[in-house]
Amino acid sequence: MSSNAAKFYSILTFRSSLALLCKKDKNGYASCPKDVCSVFEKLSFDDIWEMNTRLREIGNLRLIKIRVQNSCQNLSSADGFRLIICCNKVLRTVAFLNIYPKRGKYGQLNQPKEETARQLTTYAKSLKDGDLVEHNVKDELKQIEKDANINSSSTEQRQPS
Amino acid sequence: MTAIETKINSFYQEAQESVNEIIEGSDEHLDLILSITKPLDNINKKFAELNESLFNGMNGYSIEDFNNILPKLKGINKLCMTLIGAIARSGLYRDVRIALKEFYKQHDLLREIIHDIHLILSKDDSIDQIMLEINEL
Repeated sequence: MSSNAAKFYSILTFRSSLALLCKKDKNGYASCPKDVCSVFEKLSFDDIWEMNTRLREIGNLRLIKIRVQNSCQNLSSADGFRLIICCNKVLRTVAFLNIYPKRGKYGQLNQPKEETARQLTTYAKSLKDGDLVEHNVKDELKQIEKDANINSSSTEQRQPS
Repeated sequence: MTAIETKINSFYQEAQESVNEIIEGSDEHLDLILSITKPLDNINKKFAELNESLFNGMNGYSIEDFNNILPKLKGINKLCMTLIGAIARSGLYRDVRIALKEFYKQHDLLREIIHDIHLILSKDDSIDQIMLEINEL
């Protein structure tokens, strides 16, 4: 893996949203994990850091809203999903905070600011509690077991912010 | 005036003309479906271009740019509401639904951009505070 590659983590809110979207094929969101992967699999961290739309930047963190296509419904990125991420430029990590569709049964126009704040709070708590989950963006967002990350050294790894 | 502001102003003027055309046409009813569909298609095409330009430029705008752009975008949003009202009153909704569906889509994207700009310009520091805390973890 190149030194410029990003690592991808998620909070529970994102995983719950993803599970809801993928629950029934008939809702037309089942391609969501694959569509998210197609955005990130070939991008370096620096590419992700520059993506539209930058909502906030504080210190090493940047809050970004990304447009993702919905290949299941053949919708362009403008009409597909909205993915909220928080990037840390020092640790080169990307945290998935939430994903929602623009169209269909669970479609929404925007994510209220209060929800964004709640998701960031959850992110902060997950960092403290060590319950962030790592994802493989080259394999449909499959979760990476924590043990697979631990080096042979016995030092406990701290999850990055 | 920046390039995007010129583009917004130009779109506003053209959209205003099309809205007038639609309002006048819809008074007379029905050979008139075309008198709505045609300007609406014209608006849709330019609306899509404007939204695309806005989206692509979002990371490059300064706070001053956003402050200049926002009232203009709100003006366009209001014009969109006028247009939707005029079409509803014309009773031709079903006849122009394909063009109208595309218009709704572009209007939604504009509203989303306005929402994002509000968030970017927001002085409410709850999000900033949490991000500062995360920085320090």
